[in-house]
Amino acid sequence: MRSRLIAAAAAVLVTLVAAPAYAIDHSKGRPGFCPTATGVTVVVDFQELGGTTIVRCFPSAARGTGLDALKGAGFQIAGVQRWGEGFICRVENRPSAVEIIPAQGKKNYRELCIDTPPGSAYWSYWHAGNNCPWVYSQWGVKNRDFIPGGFEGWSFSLNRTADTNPWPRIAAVRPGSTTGHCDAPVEPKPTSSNPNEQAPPRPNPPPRAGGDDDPEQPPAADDDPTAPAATSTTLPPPRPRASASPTAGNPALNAAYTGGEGAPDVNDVLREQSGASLLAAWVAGAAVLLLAAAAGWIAWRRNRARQA
Amino acid sequence: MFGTYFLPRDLHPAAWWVWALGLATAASRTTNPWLLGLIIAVACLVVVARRGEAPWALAFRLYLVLAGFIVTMRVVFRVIFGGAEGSTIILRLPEIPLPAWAAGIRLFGAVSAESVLGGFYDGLRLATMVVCLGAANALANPKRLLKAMPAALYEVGTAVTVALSVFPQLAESVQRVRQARKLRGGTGKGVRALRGIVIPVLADALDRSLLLAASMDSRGYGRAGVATTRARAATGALMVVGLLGVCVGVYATLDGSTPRYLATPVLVAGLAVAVAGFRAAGRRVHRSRYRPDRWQLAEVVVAASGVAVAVVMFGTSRVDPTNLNPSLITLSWPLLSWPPLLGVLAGVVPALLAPPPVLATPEEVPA
Amino acid sequence: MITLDHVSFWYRGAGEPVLADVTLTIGEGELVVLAGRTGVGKSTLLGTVNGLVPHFTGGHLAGTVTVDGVSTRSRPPREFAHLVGMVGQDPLAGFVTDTVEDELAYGMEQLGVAPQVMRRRVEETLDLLGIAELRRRPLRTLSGGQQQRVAVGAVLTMHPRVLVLDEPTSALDPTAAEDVLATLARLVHDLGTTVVMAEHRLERVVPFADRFIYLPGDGSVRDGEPAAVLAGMPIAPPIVELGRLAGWSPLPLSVRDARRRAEAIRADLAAAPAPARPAPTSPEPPLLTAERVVVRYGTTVAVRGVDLDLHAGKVVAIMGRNGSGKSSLLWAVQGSGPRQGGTVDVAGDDPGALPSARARKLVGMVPQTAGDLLYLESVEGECAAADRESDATPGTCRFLLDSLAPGVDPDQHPRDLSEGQRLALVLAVQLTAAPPVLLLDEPTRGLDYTAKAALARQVGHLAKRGRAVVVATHDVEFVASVADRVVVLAEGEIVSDGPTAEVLGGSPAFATQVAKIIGPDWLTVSEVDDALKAAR
Repeated sequence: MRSRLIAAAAAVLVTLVAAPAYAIDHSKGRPGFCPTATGVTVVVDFQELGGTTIVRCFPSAARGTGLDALKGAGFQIAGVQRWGEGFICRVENRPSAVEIIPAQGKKNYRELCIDTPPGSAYWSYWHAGNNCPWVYSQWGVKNRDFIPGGFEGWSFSLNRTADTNPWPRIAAVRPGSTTGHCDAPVEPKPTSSNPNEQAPPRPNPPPRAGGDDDPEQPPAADDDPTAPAATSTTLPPPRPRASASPTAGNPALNAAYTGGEGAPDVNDVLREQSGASLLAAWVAGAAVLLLAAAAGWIAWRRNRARQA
Repeated sequence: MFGTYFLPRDLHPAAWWVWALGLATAASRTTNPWLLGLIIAVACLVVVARRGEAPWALAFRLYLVLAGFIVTMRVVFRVIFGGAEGSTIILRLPEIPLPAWAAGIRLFGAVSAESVLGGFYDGLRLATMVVCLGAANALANPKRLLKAMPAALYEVGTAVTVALSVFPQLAESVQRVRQARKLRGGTGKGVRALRGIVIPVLADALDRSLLLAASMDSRGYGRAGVATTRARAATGALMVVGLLGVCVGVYATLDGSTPRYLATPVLVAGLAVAVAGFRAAGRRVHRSRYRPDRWQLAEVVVAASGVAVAVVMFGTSRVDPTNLNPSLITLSWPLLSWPPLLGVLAGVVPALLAPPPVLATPEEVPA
Repeated sequence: MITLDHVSFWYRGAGEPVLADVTLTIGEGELVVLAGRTGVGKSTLLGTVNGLVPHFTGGHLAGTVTVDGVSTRSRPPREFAHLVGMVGQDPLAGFVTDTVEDELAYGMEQLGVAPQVMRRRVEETLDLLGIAELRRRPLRTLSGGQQQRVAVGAVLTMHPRVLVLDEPTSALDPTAAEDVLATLARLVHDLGTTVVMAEHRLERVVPFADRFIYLPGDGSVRDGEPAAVLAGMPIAPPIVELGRLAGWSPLPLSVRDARRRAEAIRADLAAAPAPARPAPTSPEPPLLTAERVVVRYGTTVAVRGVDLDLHAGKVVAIMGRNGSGKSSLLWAVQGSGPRQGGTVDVAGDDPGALPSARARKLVGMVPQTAGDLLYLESVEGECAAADRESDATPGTCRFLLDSLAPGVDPDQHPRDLSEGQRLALVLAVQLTAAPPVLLLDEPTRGLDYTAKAALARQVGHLAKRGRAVVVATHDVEFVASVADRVVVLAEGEIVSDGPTAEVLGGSPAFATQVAKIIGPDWLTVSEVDDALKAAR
């Protein structure tokens, strides 16, 4: 036990002294969409906050929660002090502690990440299977598993109502996947108000003829000049039926996005924003020691006088 | 003027309380461990330098112990109940499986530095506020604070003073009766033994309280002025309305969603009415005060230093809130900028610029 | 100054009046002493002076009480605060604040006196009572005498015309009592305050009194010059008894006067045989042996290595000022109190090591506040419980109680009994266990002469039946009448230990009145009486 504690203390020291990580943790995840059905693609859309949308892939074959996906894709997040990472209040240090958000009903609002952010300015959490429309998640980020091959979406909702939260402006369509319709089952809603309730495990999707990986089939909306000409002897291929459920958005209308390669270092940003000085921290430490020493000396002198 | 400024004396207790509340308010605005540690160090130094020798002054140590306990408990709770939120895992404890009905709770498991630090920062903030209040208790005589209450609240103050002296009396009574019980064989446990202690103690307490009441009555306590019933009803109504207004105004100020006309105007109006009520009630009382504590320059200096700390902290939270609540996104030393640091250091002023306390023994050891 | 005009008073629900048609006038600047048995109405009479009776106590008051022309009927006691200052029996229970200075100022604050005047009066009172160095001390840390003086000072600052005191010296050792009484006398002489006080220990007070009021118990009062009233009182201090015995008329009131007249009786006694005094110890082995007993409370050492032997049939008195360790020693010997060192041995057992039910069968004790042991609702119930606790035959306690204090109604609530009866009840409860050693801690506090004489008789009986009895007390007269041996403690150590006559005889602090008047060989009036009878 003792050696474990020493190792833990050493690890803490090393981590504290080591060089700070970059904004996006480039050791985790990959930029861009996930190429295959393994893993999940995470989309972060800053909306009115300003900033380029970031799309990264979490290529893990194991199951994981939405939080695992977000962190595994390399994004740096902060949870509120009250709930920890159960409620995400900052992604890539946005909204930062210094920027003023024009939230409705609050003058000069700044997100301090102490308590749950208000309904007029928060990160909304979406998910979608491949080729599916974005669904506003009924579950918290730690309470549900991500859809393998699907998408996890984060979109900053500013001054919207419950029905008009903006979904991420990236279509939930993996490039190269051509099935064209949505396979993911609808997630059941939570049955109680217990924050620890977990979403029930998803049933395995039925095997599809031809499987998911059909890079050859282009999406239906595209005009395909190479479509086989209809001959008189063979029946024309069946027309795609307009399905009852809405389809995924049009990837051609995706907002501009990056893989997060060029994002600035979060720690530098923080330091700049706060105007902090390393010297100030050292001076604070020295001041604490000095005050403690002065208090000890005064107490000792008084004790001596009392005993005299 | 400076000759008399530093003569040893006891300051008005309200000055120390304002100073301590200023520090506590400043502590409540930040979770930066540098600032909180500095506030604790400042409070300790001022207490050690300026406290008297009465028993309540020497109990400051207990507050420090309580503060340490708070911090330890917060960290321990994070370790036990929810420690894995962060990327830097420092300890891998075996997770204890719980039955299905407690599925959401996680016992032990991996412990991350971020969650431990989060618990530490949180606990440190509460601990700092406790230490500030303990400093106020150690520096200001609580009984003199009761004496300094406005004339309208005199009866309440007297009741509190008498009640405060009842408890040591009761404790002594219980001890005496318990010892006497042994003389009768200390029979049995349970209700009969309890009865054997409770009845003599209560009878004793009742007798003493009657004696005290007779004594206070004979010495003139409760001599009424010449107020009529109408005047008394009017002052009572004023005070109640004023206090209601203050309550409504405070609630409206703190809750952002209530209409603005309920906040500041009602608060100010309520305060004014309450003060008028107090004044009117105080005027009918014909009591004087023996050697009341006065507000002199030293009290103003002490109170102003506490207020300055709070003001600086409120001001810097507008300017650079990042450092006041260090982020746990990436694990690193919390950052600190100069304005809050210098603001907190302003709280040390009473250790240097307040008159020394009255001590029984001289400070210098005779040669 | 004070006039009572046909005053009668009934407590609520009582058929008999406590005061029946009392008419009194007390002039300005007089020191008046009220005497009478316990429960006879002295406190009630004192209460009428400032209006506590009937405004605070309830009941029905007929007649008028006037103080400086103002009737108490029209105003509550607080309106008399500037005229009449009242000091109760227990000064600590009457303190409102924490420190001496604040307590002195409290009354003046209630009266609305100007701050400058308050400061001046506080300083004057501190000097007058000699408590100037105590000004910042917490009240709880003061000794009994100092507390009493602070209580007197707290009412003096209001400059009352009348000072009323209820048993001011009951809890004090002789020296402190002398101090307080001297202060009161000085007030009367220098400031012209009227002082009315009720006292049991008349021997201290009689020299100072200007007027004497005796309450026989039937509601009336006998009022007049001290010498005249004392001559007719059934209970009297030793000096008065001696005077009656020697036939001195008018009765001398102070020891000085008595000494001047004592020539004749001294000559008679020189020829008489010396009084027969029992030996302090007996040759048999002692019932209880205590060796090197040490009692500490934190850093304070209360008892330092005391050796004590108690023999059967002997009465030992332990004397010493307040705080000298008497109570601590008794508790340590009984076994229920802390004992950090030394051994106690009773017939081979150490009472401290035994469970308390068995220890009380070896050493029984009556503590200072006897009422702490009583918790049931009737005398009958207490006796039944005592029989159960001591595994004695039912009825033992009742029998003992009847022999100690006859005439106690078994259905009465123990708190309604008089001091003497309550003491007798507790004594009976402890004696039910039939311990061979009996310890009494300050039993004479609050007892009048009759009750004290009864107690002395009971103690004698107990000793004669083979018990060893220890009495810790201040009361020199009681010790002289009952003890065979006296042990004096100071600061936890034994200062002197010897036969009563030897220890009490030479020292002025412990001399009885008879010894002061006649000579160190004679301690009590009964000895003188026996010697004179034998000489004739």
